[in-house]
Amino acid sequence: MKATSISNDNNSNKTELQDDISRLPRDCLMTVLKLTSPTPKDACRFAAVCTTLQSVADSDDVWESFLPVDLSSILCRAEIYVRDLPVSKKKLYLHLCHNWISFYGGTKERQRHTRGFSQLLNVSMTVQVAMYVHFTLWISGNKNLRLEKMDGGRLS
Amino acid sequence: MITLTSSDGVQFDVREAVAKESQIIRDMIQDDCVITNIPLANVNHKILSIVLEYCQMHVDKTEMEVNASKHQTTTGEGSSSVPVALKVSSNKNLNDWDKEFINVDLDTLYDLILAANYLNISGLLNLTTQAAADIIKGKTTEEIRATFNIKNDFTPEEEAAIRKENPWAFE
Repeated sequence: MKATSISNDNNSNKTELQDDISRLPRDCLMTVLKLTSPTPKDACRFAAVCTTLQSVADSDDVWESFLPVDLSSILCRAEIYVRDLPVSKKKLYLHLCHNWISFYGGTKERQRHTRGFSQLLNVSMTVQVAMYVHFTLWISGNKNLRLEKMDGGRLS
Repeated sequence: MITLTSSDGVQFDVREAVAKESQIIRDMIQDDCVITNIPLANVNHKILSIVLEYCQMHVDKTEMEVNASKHQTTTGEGSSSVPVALKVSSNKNLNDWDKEFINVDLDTLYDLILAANYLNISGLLNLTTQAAADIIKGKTTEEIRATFNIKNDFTPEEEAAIRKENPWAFE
């Protein structure tokens, strides 16, 4: 059974936890979570269940499956420094949800695309809208979604 | 025939094709072609019999399809609509069979996932993990705890912080 008392140094207790579903190997649990839905809503709820499952639900492996498979090629064309993006896949996903990204269009003149939203829409609108749709499907109703202006090619 | 012995010592004689649904057994047989008895330390007889039922069904269906398409070729009838129709209906039947097959209690489902993972039977692993995912889908955190009998070991503050991080997921 799961230990009921929680402290910062109870790692040894955690390894002994034998909840029914926790007896599945981490790999299997991650596979299950990836299959829940195309959006991470179920994974987020799963993460709040208990500490053992939280570490599975928040893993890079799970969150990577919610990102577009061609994300790196999308980001290559974006006006963004990849090194400025969060390393954790979960944080990256949430960052992409809450921030607009502009893309290089047919021209490399960065300044043309950094003067606000109206111009962003003129540039590579299809890609932008595709990203928008992808990342907002699951946060419909999220009032925190922001349209950010670009500052020197970086996400501000 | 190959003999598979469960962790609790029960022997199952199965056709090689059925045993080879498992990647791990397939590899063993390839490495040593005279192998006839394989002990499976991590699967008890109850679960092994269910796993073998799955393998048997899938092998039978595949063989049926192959035979049907061979028959089609030898009779030389030009139309390809017959085997396609047969395949579609066969797949539908198999999907229905899978759905019925996976209608088991949670404990058995966990054991099947563990066995499919250990024996590396990809079809069964997909089926069982998808079944577990379907149970989780759309449930609230409280419902997941209740369904899977999991005790909450977060402090109220920790749990509140997790919910606050992505409030949209908990609406």
